[in-house]
Amino acid sequence: MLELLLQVLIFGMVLGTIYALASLGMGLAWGLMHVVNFAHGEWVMISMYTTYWLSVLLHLDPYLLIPINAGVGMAIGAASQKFIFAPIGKKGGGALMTILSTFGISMLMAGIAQALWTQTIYTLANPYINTRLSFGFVNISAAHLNGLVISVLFILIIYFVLKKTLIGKAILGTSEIVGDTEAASLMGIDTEKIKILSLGLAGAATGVAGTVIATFYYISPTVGITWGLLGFVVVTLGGLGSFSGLLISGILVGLLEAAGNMIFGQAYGYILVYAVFILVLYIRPKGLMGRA
Amino acid sequence: MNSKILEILIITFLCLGVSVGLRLLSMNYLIYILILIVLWAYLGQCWNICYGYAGLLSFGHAAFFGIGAYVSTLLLLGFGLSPWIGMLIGGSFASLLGLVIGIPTIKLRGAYFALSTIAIAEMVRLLVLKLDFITNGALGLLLPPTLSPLDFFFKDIFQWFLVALAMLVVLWIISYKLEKSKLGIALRALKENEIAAASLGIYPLKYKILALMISAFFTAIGGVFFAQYVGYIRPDIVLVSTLSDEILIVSILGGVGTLTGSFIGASIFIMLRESFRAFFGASVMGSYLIFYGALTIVVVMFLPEGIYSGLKKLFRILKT
Repeated sequence: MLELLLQVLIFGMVLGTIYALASLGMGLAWGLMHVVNFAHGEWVMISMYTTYWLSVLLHLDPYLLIPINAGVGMAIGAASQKFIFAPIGKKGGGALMTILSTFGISMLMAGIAQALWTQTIYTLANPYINTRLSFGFVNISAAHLNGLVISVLFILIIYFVLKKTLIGKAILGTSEIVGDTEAASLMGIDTEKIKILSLGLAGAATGVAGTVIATFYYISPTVGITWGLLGFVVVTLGGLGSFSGLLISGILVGLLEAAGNMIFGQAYGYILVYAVFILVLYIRPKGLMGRA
Repeated sequence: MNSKILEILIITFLCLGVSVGLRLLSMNYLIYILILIVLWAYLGQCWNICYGYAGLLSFGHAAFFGIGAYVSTLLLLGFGLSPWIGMLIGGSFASLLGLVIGIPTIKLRGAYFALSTIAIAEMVRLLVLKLDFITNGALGLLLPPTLSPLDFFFKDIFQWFLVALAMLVVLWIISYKLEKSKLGIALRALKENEIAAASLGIYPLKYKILALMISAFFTAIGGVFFAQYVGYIRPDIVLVSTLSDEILIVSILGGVGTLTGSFIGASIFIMLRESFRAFFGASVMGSYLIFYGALTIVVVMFLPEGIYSGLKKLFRILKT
């Protein structure tokens, strides 16, 4: 019993850290630029497919694809801002109109994935998922452990880019005054460019997450809804604009899911996560570590 | 006469005239298309009560639709209860679910409500799949073919059409009354300026939840109609996310916040969808989603007020 508990606990925490990375892109778009991205899950899905095809066709190690996927993700994010969100904002469409457009993007991407790759479920054959590492009672695959390391590293990188670099400071500065174009122009910041950059950053984070996830999770055109909802739950639970909140809530969700799956059986983990999420909205809507 | 009532009358009689014509020519396929248009206009208007009137963006109306379909069908199969009564129970269940989603999320920003509608729809779908000892899981439920009109079942497609049209007209009249009622006025005030309205004692939560519950109730009744008409329900037909997408597209395409806009939206959408099906069919999987996604983006970017408002502007220009 104790062994099982320990296994669930450790596995939940590892999985949860990866969940934090999987939700980082949504947190950035939402926290920085107030774009609530309902296509987040589909962005993850696209990255999972590129990981699959590039590693199958080019016989590359999936982890070598991280830079490529980050680039693809960045392009998707930046293009969405430039060609869709910015024009809607200019026409005076409110937040709900932007949300509707991201919802349209999510349908479009899921449809394209179905048209190109049918509803077949792919799993990426890689050496990491089958390598089981044992630590005493606990058994974890190398794919999950690598995911843990990459997640922590990448979250730290984004954190330092935002807090320590000039570009990061410009992004944070703009995010404070988004919607107040007068104040922004007075400060001489090209807000349009910063917004494109921020969404690009969010897309890049999503691309990295998709690569990690593809090594241990199945790939299908409908997989987006799982990762999209997860992103929402983790970001909301953690609170907007908080990196530590993101990590803590990611781990919490990972633990909940692992526990739910153990206690009630497969697939009930997600139901438990959604139920707890709605409960949290009742009790503490701004999340665990959120700024109001 | 009020122009809104005039519009309702024109569309109703237009539908009746066209359907009688199709009946005389015995073109049953086109009557079937007409039923789809009327049903989708009905669902679009249900969604519109939520988004157009109360500003609540829902991506999960399939949950209400599916609950209506499942509750009435289970009551019919299990207890022999007529769906005419079952639809009220199914509607109440859907309303209750609306209440449960609404209370925690409506006071937050719009994104939270939108998100929880997706989450709840997914939860309901998973539950119906998992509780297969009640719902028969993924296999779904089949209605016996020996039903009578007392059990909401008709032999003739024309009768089905009349029932659908009656439902749409009833919903329109209720929506019209709603617009004129205290609830409608409060909602309009909240839309103009929520803080000002609240300072006059109009509390957003109460009115928005009421609108959501009404919307959920009627969406569920739409689900009951669908279950009875098709005679067969399955989670991947009545609880599927593409259904939520279709309901939303019909409404925004026609024009949110209008009374008869959803009928224009449904006519265009169903005709596009059916011709799309004829051209691409099952050959390109996912072609529907591409179509839905592209349509949503185009409408949001270039026609944010919908076709109804566009047509109205056109009429005004033609008049002068």
